[in-house]
Amino acid sequence: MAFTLDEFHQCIFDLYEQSKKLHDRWQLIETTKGSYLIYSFIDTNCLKYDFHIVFSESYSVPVLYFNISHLDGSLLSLDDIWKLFIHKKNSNMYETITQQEHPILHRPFFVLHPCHTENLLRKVAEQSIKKRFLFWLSIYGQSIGLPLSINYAID
Amino acid sequence: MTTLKFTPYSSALDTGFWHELTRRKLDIYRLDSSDRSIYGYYSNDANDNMPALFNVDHRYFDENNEISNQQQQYSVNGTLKLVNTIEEFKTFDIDSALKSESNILWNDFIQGNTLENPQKLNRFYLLIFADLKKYIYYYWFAFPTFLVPTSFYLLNPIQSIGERFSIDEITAITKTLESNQLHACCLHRQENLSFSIVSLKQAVQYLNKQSQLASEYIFIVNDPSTDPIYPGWPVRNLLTLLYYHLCSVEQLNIICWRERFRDGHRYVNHSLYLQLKPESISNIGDTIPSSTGWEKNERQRLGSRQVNLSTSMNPIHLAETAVGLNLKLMKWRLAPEIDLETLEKTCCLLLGAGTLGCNVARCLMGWGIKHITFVDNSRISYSNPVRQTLFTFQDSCENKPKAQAAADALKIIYPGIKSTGYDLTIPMPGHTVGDSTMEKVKEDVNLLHDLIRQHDVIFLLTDSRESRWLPTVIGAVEQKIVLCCAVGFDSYVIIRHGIPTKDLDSSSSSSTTTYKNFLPGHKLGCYFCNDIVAPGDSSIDRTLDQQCTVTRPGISMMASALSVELLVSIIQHPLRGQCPASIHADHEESIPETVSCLGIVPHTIRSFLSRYSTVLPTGEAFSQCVACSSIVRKAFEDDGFSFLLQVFNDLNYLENLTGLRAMQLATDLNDIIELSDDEEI
Repeated sequence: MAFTLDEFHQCIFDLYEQSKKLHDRWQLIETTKGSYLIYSFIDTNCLKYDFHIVFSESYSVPVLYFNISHLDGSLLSLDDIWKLFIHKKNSNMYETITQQEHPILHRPFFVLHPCHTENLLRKVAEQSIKKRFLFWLSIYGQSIGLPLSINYAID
Repeated sequence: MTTLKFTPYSSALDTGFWHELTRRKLDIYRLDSSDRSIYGYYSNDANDNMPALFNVDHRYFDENNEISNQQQQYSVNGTLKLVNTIEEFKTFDIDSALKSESNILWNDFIQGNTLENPQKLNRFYLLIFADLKKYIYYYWFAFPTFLVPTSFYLLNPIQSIGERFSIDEITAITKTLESNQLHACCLHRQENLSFSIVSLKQAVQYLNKQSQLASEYIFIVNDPSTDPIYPGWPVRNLLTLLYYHLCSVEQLNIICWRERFRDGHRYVNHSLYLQLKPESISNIGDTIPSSTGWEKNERQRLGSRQVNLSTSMNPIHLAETAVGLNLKLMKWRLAPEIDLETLEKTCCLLLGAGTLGCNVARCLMGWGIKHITFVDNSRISYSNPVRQTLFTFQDSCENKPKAQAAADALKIIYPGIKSTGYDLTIPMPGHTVGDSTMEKVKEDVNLLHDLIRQHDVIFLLTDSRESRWLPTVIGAVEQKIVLCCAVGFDSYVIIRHGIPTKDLDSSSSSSTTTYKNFLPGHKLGCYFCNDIVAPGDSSIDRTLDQQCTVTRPGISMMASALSVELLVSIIQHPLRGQCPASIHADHEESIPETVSCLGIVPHTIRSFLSRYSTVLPTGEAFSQCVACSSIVRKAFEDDGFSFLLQVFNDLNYLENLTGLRAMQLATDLNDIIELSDDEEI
């Protein structure tokens, strides 16, 4: 159910490779403090969305960090973010947005709290790690506007 | 002939850039404001109607940083100038800076460097001043380009390549460019409808030898613009470059290459096709032409921009947000009906900054309460820090006044707190006031009254019974929420005072309602309601250990914590301080009127540590109470200080006033069950 660090690395590397083939925007950043994936895009309202997939050591699961900023680099507040996602906001217990320091970049990011991830992953326990990873990403990602092409699910 | 016009860049900075800039300024650059190399990039894959963005990222500070070869990101070299003062920023010589940056660009153009390496088609200059106290960043971008030629003449109207080329041709072009990483290059049309890539340098050489073959060559440049008729800056610079190097070419074909990816498919038909009549500018020689390129600000004027990042960078802001978020999370996940906003605005007055005061303050902060005022007349002594959790050993060495030290300690824990301390002695019944001290006592009374008026909640946390009398009276008159907390060696009591109704005429004799299950808020008693003797000077005849309350250390923590939790429950109840209390609170079924979203709101909490037991009695207001009865309140409102003076100086005055004296005389003392709180050891 949980991911090992190696499995996580494998998943993000695979996603990055697939992304290159699809000419999508995932970027793989490897640092001495850890590796993570970034997806960035700018929407029609000139808001920049940055999504980071980082590994949580304590929960042994991937975690989705994100920030939404204006083009001058200023960040949206939590209230602004709630307003943006109000139509998606439901009582789904899997998603709780909180703000934390990014474990590698050490600056504030919003994060979908990972405490329920393991529970969620239990539903697909028998699947391959790649499928479990995509399952997690598609559920957590869609609640905060991360576009994920169906092509990633096609081998 | 129509002329070609261009879309300038729109700068875009990422949050990480500002963080990294700040870090470098503090750790590396310090006061050194010399020019530095920096990199930015633009892409050619934006959606319709997006501006032509020029991005600067946190990764692009110097060459040694890995400039990842991201697809569709074309790097640009630039110069960063980080000045040290706002004056330097405002008086900066923008003309020279632009000139020097343009020189670099021009030299690369004319010396052939750009033809060899098309990455040099663009440059930028970035002027910044960072106000690191307020976290406001002032910045201004310049994207140099030249004012020669004055016009770019088009031979034909601008078309998209979808309009100009056949599907096969577009497919061939796309295929040829598939692995191309260059910022600009040239396509040479071959016999069999295919194309081959030629570098800019080679293309220029061929064309200069055989200018009549111009129609076979199409120059390709990545274009950040999405506008259907205005290409971006790289196109303009490419044309300037070509107009310098080409001679006698009658026709120049350009594709402003734009791509878009959806679900793995590449779309390019929206790229622009231009056919221009070039005008040679090589006669300029070595003179550097005039340039332009400072970015206009948000109001379309030539001026700098600024961004305020204090909410995401100022640590005090960050602490505030984190504390608030913590409470909100509790609300969202566990107690959705809880009203955190009212809590935050509640102003609390803590009378006593000792063991109880320190712990109550800590707990209030945990709930997000921001306004805490301390009142205490003593100084920190050596025995205090181990129990009084806001003080340190150093404080006791300096013998600091407690109220102020407590207020300061709160600010160190959380800078967003609004805390103050008053060194004030609360005048007490039975503690005589002489003529010499009368004015001072009067001032103290007035100050206390003002403080009570200005706050929403009063905590009675002092170390004697009599010091609680005056605040009880004033609190009742001002209709404030009063929480009284008293501790004994191994017991404690917490009472929320009833809030009597304003009309003083309705004495208890006229109210005939008997309350079966709960008492309404105005009928609840206060700390003194169970006493039939007035509070006197309890410090006389007490030994040293009795003069300061010594308790089992855990008692104070428990009592303080419960007092705050009780307060929060009170505030959550729609009637707040007027919230009723169930008469049999210990019983299972709670009555809906007495319950808030956090549970029951008892009147009194009494705990005994020796048995680890707690009871929740409910006390009714006593019509002859020495503190909260209508007689006393009326006397205070009518006669003010002169009434108080009599109370302070004459031990029997209160008992006479309330009729307690008469009651005592009429009663056989042996039959009395002692009901007063005994906090004295």
